Amino acid sequence: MGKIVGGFWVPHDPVMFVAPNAPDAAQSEAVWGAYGQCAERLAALAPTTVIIVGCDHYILFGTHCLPRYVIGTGDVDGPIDRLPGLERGPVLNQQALAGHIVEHGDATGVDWTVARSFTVDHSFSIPHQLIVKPAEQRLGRELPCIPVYLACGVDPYISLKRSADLGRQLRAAVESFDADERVVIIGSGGISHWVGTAEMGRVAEDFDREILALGVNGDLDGLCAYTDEEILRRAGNGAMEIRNFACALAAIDHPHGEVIAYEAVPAWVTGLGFVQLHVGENRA
Amino acid sequence: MSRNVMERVLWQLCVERAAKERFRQDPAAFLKRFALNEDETAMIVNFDVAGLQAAGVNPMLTMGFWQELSTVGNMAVYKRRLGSTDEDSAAFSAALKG
Repeated sequence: MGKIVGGFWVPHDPVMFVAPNAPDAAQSEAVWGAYGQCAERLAALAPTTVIIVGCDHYILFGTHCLPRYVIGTGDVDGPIDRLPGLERGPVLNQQALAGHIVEHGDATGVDWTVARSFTVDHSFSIPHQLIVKPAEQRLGRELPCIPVYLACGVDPYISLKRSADLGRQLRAAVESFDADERVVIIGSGGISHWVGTAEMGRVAEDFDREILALGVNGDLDGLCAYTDEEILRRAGNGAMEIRNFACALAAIDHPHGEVIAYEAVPAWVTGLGFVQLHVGENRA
Repeated sequence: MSRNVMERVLWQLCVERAAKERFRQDPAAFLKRFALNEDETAMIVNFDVAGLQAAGVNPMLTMGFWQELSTVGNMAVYKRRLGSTDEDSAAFSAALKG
């Protein structure tokens, strides 16, 4: 059977690519270096598949169709948004597992919206190109990636609790897959940032450190306890992306976490947090 | 106010090349085919991002619309139009040129 062997929370800040030299050198190096550390740690987990949980930024989906949650089961490419240094191209998917997740969901009350061809945005492509691709180099083989998108940026938002439900279903689906898959799940997003609002450029370090602590403690209930009103007020519309964190955390069996790096970077408009999620022991 | 229609228009103007071109050529003519009232049309033509947000339009769309089609483009001006006087958040303006 398959197994989810670990996970990560990482940011997907496009401003890093638009203005790489905006912060001071030490901060910049800490953030770029954190992606490198994640790549190294990902390779050490000897994964066979990665699931990246991202979110649309009102580019992929318009008012005509706003899915709460989507999985890419077929051809994948991207990113759709052009950023300097982020190349657009095809992405290797693990189609058999992605299809199995959908079938498993059908049987367990999780009716995935399916994208049989999917062009991702930067929320997938930044962790894919900064973490998965370098991990492939270390492993000397390709590492297929399944895109999962949750509605964090455009209302109606998926709830935190439903995001966690999806994470649990992803784990159950992987564990019922007829293969020795070793899956790593990456929750892509956050932490505090205001996108397109008057507060843009503000960073809420206190909120960010609360979220990091919840990851370290594997406290899914604590993470899901935030109301949308509190997230928006304290950490901005971009912080709604902690839904992706909830999904990834819920996919890990008895999780606990380790902070790899945190930098509050107003010049990149974001509090950038990197956490590795470890699988714990079942002491029940 | 029809937030849905305004978001539909701005989404098209953010992602569809042909829509951007038609808007650049003649904004009022482009907007005629949508069920917008005079106030809504004026907010879009005048890049009134504060008014659009006050009407409930998603800030990701107002920002994308501004960056894609405003002749000003500068994000510091965008923030001032939103009424920002927050010096703590000014650092990003230097980062985002144009």
